[in-house]
Amino acid sequence: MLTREVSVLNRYGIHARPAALLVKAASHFQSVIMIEKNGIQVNGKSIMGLLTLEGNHGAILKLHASGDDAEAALTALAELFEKKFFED
Amino acid sequence: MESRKELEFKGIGVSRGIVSGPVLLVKMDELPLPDHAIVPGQTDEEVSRLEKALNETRLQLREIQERVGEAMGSESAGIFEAHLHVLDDPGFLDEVYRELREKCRNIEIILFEVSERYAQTLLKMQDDYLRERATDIRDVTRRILQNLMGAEGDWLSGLTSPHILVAHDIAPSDMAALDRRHILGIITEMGSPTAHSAILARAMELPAIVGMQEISRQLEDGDRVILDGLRGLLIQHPSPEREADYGRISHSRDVIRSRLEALKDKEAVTLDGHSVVLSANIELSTDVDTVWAHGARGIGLYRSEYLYLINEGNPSEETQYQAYAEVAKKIMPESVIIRTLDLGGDKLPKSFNLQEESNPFLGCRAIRLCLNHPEMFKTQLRALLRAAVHNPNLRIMYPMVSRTGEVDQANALLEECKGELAAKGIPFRADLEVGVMIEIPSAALIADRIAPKVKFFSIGTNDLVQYTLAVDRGNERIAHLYEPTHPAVLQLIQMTIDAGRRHGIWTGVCGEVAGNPLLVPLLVGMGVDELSMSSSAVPLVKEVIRRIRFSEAQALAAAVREMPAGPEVLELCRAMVRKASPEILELAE
Repeated sequence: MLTREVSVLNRYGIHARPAALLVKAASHFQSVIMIEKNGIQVNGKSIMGLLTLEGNHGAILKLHASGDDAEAALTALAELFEKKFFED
Repeated sequence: MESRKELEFKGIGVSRGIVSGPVLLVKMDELPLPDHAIVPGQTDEEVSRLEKALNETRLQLREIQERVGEAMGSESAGIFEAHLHVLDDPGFLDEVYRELREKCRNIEIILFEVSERYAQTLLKMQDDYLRERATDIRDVTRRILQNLMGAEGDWLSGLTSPHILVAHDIAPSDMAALDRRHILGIITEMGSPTAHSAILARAMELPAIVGMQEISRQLEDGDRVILDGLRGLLIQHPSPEREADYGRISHSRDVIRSRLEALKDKEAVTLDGHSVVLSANIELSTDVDTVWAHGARGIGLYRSEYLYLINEGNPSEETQYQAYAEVAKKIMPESVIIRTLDLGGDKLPKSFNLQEESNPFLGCRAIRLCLNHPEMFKTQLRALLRAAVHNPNLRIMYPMVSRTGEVDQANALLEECKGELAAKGIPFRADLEVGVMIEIPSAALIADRIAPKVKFFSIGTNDLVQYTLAVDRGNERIAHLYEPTHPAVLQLIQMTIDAGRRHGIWTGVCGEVAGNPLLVPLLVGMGVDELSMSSSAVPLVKEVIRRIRFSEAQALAAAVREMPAGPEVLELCRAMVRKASPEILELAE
């Protein structure tokens, strides 16, 4: 399993729209993707899970991926965080 | 028949209109769920039942989305996008399947329990937008359950005559599916003006009141009620007098409306040939059709706040551009004035790190908030500059200006945006006209100094009255002190108009006063060039203008300048309208 740490940079945090973008991106990969905040993990392909994570601005999250395309998946997801979900 | 006592209940009116009729209590939470054990061998069967239900739900939601999109525009239809995501949510479904195997109970009860856990988690959250999503999750779940149980599912299918619906909460997909022939209006215990259902009710022109807590306990099926969506008032067992009052209001409104229909294409011009521009206030791009239907010329106030409220406080430049461009194109060749964001910090996500304010009306809101968050403001300004390409009469105005520096700063940001767009080769309108809302007394007092920096003034009377008289009209004990005809208010309005005239720019009024037929002759006499109001007020106001003389209106304005207090002013205005059009006077009161 690969892990990468990201921070929520966009002002509004993981609201409905960023959550939908994450789900869409994660679903392109075979790997199992989990997103963790303060020890709580949710499925990265689940919009309901992501909404209930309360990933507010400034939160530090861990992305976990296991599978053949884990590396590519983490890169793609981390990019969304870095680009602030194209919001700011 | 036993005559019962008339009772009045107050909630939050979110969609205007008066209707009366019998109550239908909707008890959606009492959907009887089968709850029984299954043997482990049956789980596969349960899974395939759920998959089938999910497919049906997907088709239904796409159909609703399409229908809503056609009838009410893409903004309303977008609400159902999140519902569709839930159907494909692997995390959610995995949890359902896991519990199905662990608990060995039927799929309906498992689905309900898992979904309810998510809803409860969301309900506990600090953030308003996330809390509202709990309603969306329950909505999808109920729809899946209906499909699972093969219930025709329609809790309204038995309805054959018009009723006023009373429910704990009404889900957006149910709102969208309502048959307008059988629904007069809507009352819910839950909800806020920003909930998806409230937005849909306005888009459907369905009178609605929300936030009437515990109202279901007070009412019984078939109770006769009057719903006044404008005032947020529900009257149970109305007395014959009350029925007659409301009946008369709504009947004469109908009669006059149909008569006024004929005025639709006529000019708003006085008997002696003085023209006034009548335009409409709107909130959603889909409101444009009602603008035309009521005979307004253009849009005097497009509130951009709803775009922010339905996009988690942060609509992208593209989302905003699409919405503004849609309005700009639809209203061509007439004009649209878009007001830049006019929200207080309380409506924005907490990630803005805005501190709670002890006095929000005197706090960091509107232009102040925008200047504190220049990147957010510039996103809106760029979207506006781009949208103006589609309509040379698209204008913008800044709300809550209190000093010249704010206009300078905002205009400087606007210039920066033009530079950025030009550098990227994105088309925009360089000569976009900018105006200022005059709604703070200081702005009216320095209107002479603001005028050279802008192309027009728009007087926001609601706030101007509140700030001038230091009266919150929501406070029942002092609501009677909220007086648009107070001489101080009128003097500030006159100062603004005069300053505009000296600098060759025009002045409009876009507060509620503009749509009040009683006060229209006075405003016209004072020299207002444009009146912007809710579209439904346009016909009445046009009728008044067409029945008065400008010279008389000017004489009225001059007489009013000598008067000591608001009530006398109002009486003089009333006398003028009574003379011009007695029926209108009756409707206006």
